[in-house]
Amino acid sequence: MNNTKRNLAWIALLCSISLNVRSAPPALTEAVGVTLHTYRTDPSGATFETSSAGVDLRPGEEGTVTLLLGQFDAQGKPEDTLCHGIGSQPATREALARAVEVWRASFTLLDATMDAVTVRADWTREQGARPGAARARVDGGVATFTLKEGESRTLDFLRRAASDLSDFCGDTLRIDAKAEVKEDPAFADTRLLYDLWLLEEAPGAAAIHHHVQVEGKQGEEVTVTFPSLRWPLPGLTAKDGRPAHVIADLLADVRGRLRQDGSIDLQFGAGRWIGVGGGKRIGGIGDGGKKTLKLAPGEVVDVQLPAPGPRASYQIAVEGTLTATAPGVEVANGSVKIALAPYFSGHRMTVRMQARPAR
Amino acid sequence: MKPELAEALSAFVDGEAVEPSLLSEALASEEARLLLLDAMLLRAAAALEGPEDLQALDRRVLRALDDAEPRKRFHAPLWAAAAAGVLILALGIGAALRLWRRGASDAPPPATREVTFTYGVDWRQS
Repeated sequence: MNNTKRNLAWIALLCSISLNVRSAPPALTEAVGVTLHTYRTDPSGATFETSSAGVDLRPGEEGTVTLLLGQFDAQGKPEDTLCHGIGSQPATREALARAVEVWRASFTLLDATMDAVTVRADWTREQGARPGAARARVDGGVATFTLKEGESRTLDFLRRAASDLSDFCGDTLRIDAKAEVKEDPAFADTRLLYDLWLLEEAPGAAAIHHHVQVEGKQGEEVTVTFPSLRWPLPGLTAKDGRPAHVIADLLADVRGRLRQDGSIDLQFGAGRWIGVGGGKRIGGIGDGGKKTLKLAPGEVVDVQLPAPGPRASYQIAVEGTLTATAPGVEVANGSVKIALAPYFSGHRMTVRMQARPAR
Repeated sequence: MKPELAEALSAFVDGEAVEPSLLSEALASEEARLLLLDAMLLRAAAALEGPEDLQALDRRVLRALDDAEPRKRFHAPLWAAAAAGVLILALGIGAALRLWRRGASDAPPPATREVTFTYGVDWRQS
C-alpha cells in the first residue's frame, strides 16, 4: 500500500469513527432508579398503582428490590393476598414472615444513555402457606430489556386465589419494572429554554417558518405544537364547507439536560400528520421519530424531516372540481386522493432548534 | 355573524394570516363594519395618552355617529364602503408592520449543524 492509499484509508477510518461517535446517544451521568410497581384492578372499577419499591443504580451496578404482599389471618390462613404491599430493601425477617407473596428482583443496569436504559432483571416470586414457614418459589425468570424514559415492562401478573374469598384487594395484580432518571440535585433549579422553528420550503413557493418557544425543567419533556402548514386544493370544498387544503400538523417534544461544561444533552421527538380538511385536518397519515443530540453552547441544529413515505396515500370525501392540477392529486367519485410522495416532491421540512439555560 | 367569520375577522384585525374567501365573506356583513369600528376605536383609545384625549375621542365618535345616522338611508353604502376601505388599509398596514416586526425577531438564526431523520431507521410511519 503506498502512502497516499494508506493516508486515505486512515482518513476513511477516522471519519467512520467520528461519525459513529457523533451518532452514539450521549451517556447519562445521572443515576437511574429501577423500581417494581404493583397495579391492582378492582372487581368493578379501574386499575391503579398500589405500591412500589426500587433501587438507584449506575451503569454496571446491581441492586435487589423486595416487594411483599398479603397477610395471614388469626388462624394463620392467607388473606388479602393482593394488597398490604410493603417495599423493603432489604426485607426484615419479621416482614417476610408476615407476607404471603414475596417478589425479589435483582436488577443490573447494563447501559444508560439519553436514548434508553438497558436493565437485566433476575426475579422470583415466592409464596408462603403459613406465617413464618418456608416459602416455595412459584414463578420467576431472567429478562434483559431496554426502556425509554417513562416506559415500563410487565414482569408478573396474577389473579386473586380461589381460596381468597374477599375481593377487598381487587381481582388481579400486575407487577411492572420501571426505570427513570434521577435528576442531578446540582441542576434541581435549572430551567431550559427551547426555541424551535418549523421551516417549510417548496419549489416556487415562499419559505414558511413558524417559531415556538417553550421552557422546561432539567430533564422534563415538553411538547410543542406548531401552527398547521396548509396548501390549497383549488375548487374543492371539505366536509365542513370550507375550501379544502392539504394540511400538515407537526408536534415536537424535547427533553434536555444541562451539563457541567455548558453543553445540553437533548432528546428530540417529532410526530407529523398529513391529511386534508377545511378549517382543520380530518384524519390523515402519521409518521414520526426520535433522536438524541449533544448541543454545544449556542449551537443551532437543523433536524431534517424525511419526505413522506413513498407508498403513503390518503383519501377523503370532498365536493367540487379541482381547478388546478397538482402532482399526486386525483379527484374521482366525490373524493380526493393524495399520493404524499409526489405531492411533497421537492419540499423540505426542517425543525431548527436551539436550547439554552433560562435566565 | 357566523362564529368562523367573526374568528376570521378577529384574526385579521390581530394581523394573523386569514383565509381570503372567509375574510371576503365576513366583510360583506353589516356586523363586520361594527366589529371593525370597535377594533379601530380600541386601537385609537390604546394610543391615547390621557383621559382628556379619551373623552375627546368619545365625543368625536358620538358626534360622527349622530351625524351619520339620519343620512344613513342615502349615504350608508358609500360611507360604509369608504370607512371599510380606510379601515382595511389602516389595519392592513398595521398588520403588515406587525408581521414584519415579528418576522424580524422570529427569523431563525443560521444552523451550525444538520442532522437527518431516515425513514425506516429512526423515522417510521404510524
